[in-house]
Amino acid sequence: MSAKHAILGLMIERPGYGYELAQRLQERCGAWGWEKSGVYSALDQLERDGHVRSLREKRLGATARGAPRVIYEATPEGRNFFRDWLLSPTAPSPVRQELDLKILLSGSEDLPRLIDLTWAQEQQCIDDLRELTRAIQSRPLVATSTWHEARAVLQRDAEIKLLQVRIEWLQDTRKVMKQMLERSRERWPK
Amino acid sequence: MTPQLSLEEVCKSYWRGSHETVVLCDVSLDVHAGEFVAVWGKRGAGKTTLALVAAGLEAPERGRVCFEGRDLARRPRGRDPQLHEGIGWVQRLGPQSGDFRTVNDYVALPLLGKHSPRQARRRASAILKRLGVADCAGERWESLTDGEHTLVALAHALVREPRVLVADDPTANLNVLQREEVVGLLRRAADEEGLAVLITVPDMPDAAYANRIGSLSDGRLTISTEPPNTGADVIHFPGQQSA
Repeated sequence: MSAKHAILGLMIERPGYGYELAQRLQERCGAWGWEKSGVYSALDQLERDGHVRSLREKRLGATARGAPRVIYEATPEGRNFFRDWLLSPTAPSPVRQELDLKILLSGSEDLPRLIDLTWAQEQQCIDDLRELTRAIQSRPLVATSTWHEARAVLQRDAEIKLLQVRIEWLQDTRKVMKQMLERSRERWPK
Repeated sequence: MTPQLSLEEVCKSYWRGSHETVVLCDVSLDVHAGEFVAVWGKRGAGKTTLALVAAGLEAPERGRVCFEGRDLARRPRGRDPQLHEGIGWVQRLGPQSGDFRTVNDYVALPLLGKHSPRQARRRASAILKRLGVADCAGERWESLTDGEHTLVALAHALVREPRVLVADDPTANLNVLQREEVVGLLRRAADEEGLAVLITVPDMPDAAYANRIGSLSDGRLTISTEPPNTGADVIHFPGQQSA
């Protein structure tokens, strides 16, 4: 998924220049892992498609070299394009993990090492989870919270749930692997 | 710095007939003052056993559980009740007898040894008010909602002003808003009062406000690797003064 819809949505909230939009993208959608450099290519594409227009605005500030900053704002076509995207059905994205491929291509002699790898990936998931909750510092929801506050919590929950599902799968997989390993040892005792 | 609560290579297993189920296997965990640790695990992973052992309510078969550096096994509840009073246990099941007319009486119960009934009731209503459930004070436990049960159970555990709080699945059966309220309260108790908090959670998003997050499976605890709370991830809630 490209960053263009996210950038367009941020621009509809408030026009901005490239660096500032990249910062807002990081704050709001950091979990997607988009590079800041990708913001400029997305802006170029949005401008080519007529969804945004750029204005050289001297009053709003200037770069260190004194050149006027380029401010981007959404066009009416861009707003319609964004609304159509926002309200259209979305298919879930398949998740492909390298460890899954390794398991798929492994032999029973690999089970002890694969069991270790599931533990290692579980530790990584737990560390990722901690980093995620540290990065998305939403405040606890209360009855008077705004939708802006609620959506940050819901997004954080969605990211955490993905990690939870992965950890649950790793635990189930490890259980099966251990059973298989025990069975093979019973059949072929040393 | 000595952790408030420390589990050192704790092992615990149960026997069903001739079959031994290992629930905790060499589990080590420190919880420092002002730290909020959440442990997630699937149903049957051993979360309740971990909470009971950490709260000193069940003894481990091997390993040590220390509160403020003192081994709980060497100072059983009967011999050193004061030590054990420093550990708050959130009893989500509520009163274990029907002797309590009101929620306020139930929350006041842990104070009756040290305070007069009148003082105990006054403190109980103060903590119920602080947790936002003052309206429940005159109700009976059975008439409360799941969210109110949890908050009243928290009040019952906190009324004695413990230094460590242990709660087993305090977010179970709660909707998102109720969960946010409960974990927000726990986080505030750690940040503002220096309480060491250890909870188990049935769902990982419930652990989002914890300083450290663990996963329990096959008797083994996998815990996030960063050092204890450095203050870097203290959440400042609305209306709270920044440090």
